Amino acid sequence: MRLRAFAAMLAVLLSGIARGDDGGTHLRAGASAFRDGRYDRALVEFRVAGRLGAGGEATWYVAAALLKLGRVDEAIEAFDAAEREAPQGRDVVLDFYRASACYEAKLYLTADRLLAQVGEKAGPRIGQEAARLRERIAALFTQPPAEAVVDWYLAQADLELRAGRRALARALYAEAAALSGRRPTPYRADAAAAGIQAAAGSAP
Amino acid sequence: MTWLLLAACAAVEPAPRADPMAAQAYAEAGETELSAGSFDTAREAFREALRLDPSLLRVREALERICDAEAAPDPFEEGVRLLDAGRPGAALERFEEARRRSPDAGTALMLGICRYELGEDEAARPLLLEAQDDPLTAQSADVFLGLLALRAGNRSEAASRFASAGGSADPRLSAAASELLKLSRRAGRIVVGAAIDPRFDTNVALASDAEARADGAAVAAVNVSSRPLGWGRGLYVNANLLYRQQFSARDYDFAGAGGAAGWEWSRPALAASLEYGAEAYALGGSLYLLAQRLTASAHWTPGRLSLGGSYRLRPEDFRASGWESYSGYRHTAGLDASWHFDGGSSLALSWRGERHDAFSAALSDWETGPWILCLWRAGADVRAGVQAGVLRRWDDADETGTSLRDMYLHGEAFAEYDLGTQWVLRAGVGAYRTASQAQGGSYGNVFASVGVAWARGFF
Repeated sequence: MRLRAFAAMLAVLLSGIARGDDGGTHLRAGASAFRDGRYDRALVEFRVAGRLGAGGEATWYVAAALLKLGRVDEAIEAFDAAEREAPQGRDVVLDFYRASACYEAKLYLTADRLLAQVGEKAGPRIGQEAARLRERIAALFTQPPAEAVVDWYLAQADLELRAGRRALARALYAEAAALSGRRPTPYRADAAAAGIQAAAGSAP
Repeated sequence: MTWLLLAACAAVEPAPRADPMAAQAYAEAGETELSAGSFDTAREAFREALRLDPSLLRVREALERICDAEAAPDPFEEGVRLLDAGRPGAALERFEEARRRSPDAGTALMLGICRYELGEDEAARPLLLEAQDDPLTAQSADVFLGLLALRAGNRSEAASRFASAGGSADPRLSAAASELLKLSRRAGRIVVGAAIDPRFDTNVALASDAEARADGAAVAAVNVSSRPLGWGRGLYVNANLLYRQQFSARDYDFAGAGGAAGWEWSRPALAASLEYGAEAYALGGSLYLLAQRLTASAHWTPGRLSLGGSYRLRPEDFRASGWESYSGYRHTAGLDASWHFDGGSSLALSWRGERHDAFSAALSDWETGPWILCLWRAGADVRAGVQAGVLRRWDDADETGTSLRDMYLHGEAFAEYDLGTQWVLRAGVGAYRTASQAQGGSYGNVFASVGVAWARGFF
């Protein structure tokens, strides 16, 4: 269902791209492959579209294809790059995909924030799916997060930062900060804030 | 190579009209995918680049490299398979190849495990410490760092690492760590154990059915064992005492004392031991039997399967009046095979053959039969099991040419519950039955026991 909605969204977006534009041709080819479930091919076409002039908008679809291929960490990096390069390309369906990537990466609070914005705007089916995800997230937070949980997010963020995945590192630090804030007494909030700054400061 | 891969690496059909600009974009997309480690999408992009511009030599070479790499078996997966098959030496080579390609924490962990299995503790440690830096492999590394500490005799570090790994979200890792934590508390260069197991028998004298006498007994046992060279290697010695006092049939009070010393050789997937022991037993307050034993055993454990064999020579000297003629030599040979399931459960089958050469030839006999043991680990603290066996015995023919034959059937069920790391509550119930050609030689017994055992390691 998400696939159909995404395909419909792509059709609308791509209708604005002039015929004969190489980037547009590859965006359409990517959308077609995406619709058919050939995500490898879709990813290649979206990347080519970006190189041939479709610009930052193609990056949103690259991120969606990466998510479909299970390359969640890269998807989160790509969504972050897309937001910087083409903020106008963002919409509720892509937000839903981004939220799904965050959920898969255990960035539950970030996912929940995005899903809250999706609501029913992306249609009843995505709305229902978003509500189900939010229920699952809510079930994870019936108790305040333990210190070990905050430790895990900070350690994971450190690793991602060292590996050069800065957007993911930043998101993990932010998640740690948010988790710390949900505790009766904050825990390592300073480390999380410093991590966010470090990851943001070194962002391109 | 699968047919899918064959198709993906087949020659590229050029497009009717070349498009160098698009080809360049596909080539760049392919390089991006290749640097992300995604061979499938890189190959897709490179093939399209070559279709649009067959002259792109670097793209052709990159495509060939991908196809060559994918056709070769993944060294990491090969290593896992070899390690699972009990070949850590061969697995080590494959993991080293995998590390050259991708030096990640997972490969460091597997290399550390191989070094541990090979007994190369010094080389294993830095690899496991490297794996500990990654949250994904940290707790698995902790388990093996704990095993290294245990082998070095550092029980407090071992316990600390097992406790840490016990918090893993992976239930199998958590259960293994919890079990090792208990082991670390019960292990040491010197281990002292004690048990009290009150017991009830319906036929304490093993008399014929018509003369069976039921009785209860208090049973206590103490044992001390030592591994002066450390856990799981080399020299070991042990001593044990057992005392059973019947509530009413005091002529069947039983006491035993024994000691043994042995040497254990351990190699990856292979272990062997040679042990000498001596035993003394008293029945009804009088010395009944003195025995010595020499046992050799070997086990090969290629993965989940374990195969073993043993031989024991036991000179026996019966001291009780009327039993002297049974003195002689007992030769026992055994073969066993066991399978270990995830979570600690196991199934074992064994066969035993025994020759009793009594000094009085008329009392010599043969015994042989199979045995089965099913051990079920129901949780981190609960174990249960059943065992059963059949033994056939036949005497040597006497001067009249007559050879008597007996059959023994034995069945038993038991359960154990860990009370913390050093105490175990245990209970068992069982029965055995013999069918003998000898007049009045058939008998049966049903028994039950409930008790507690305690063990603690020192040093």
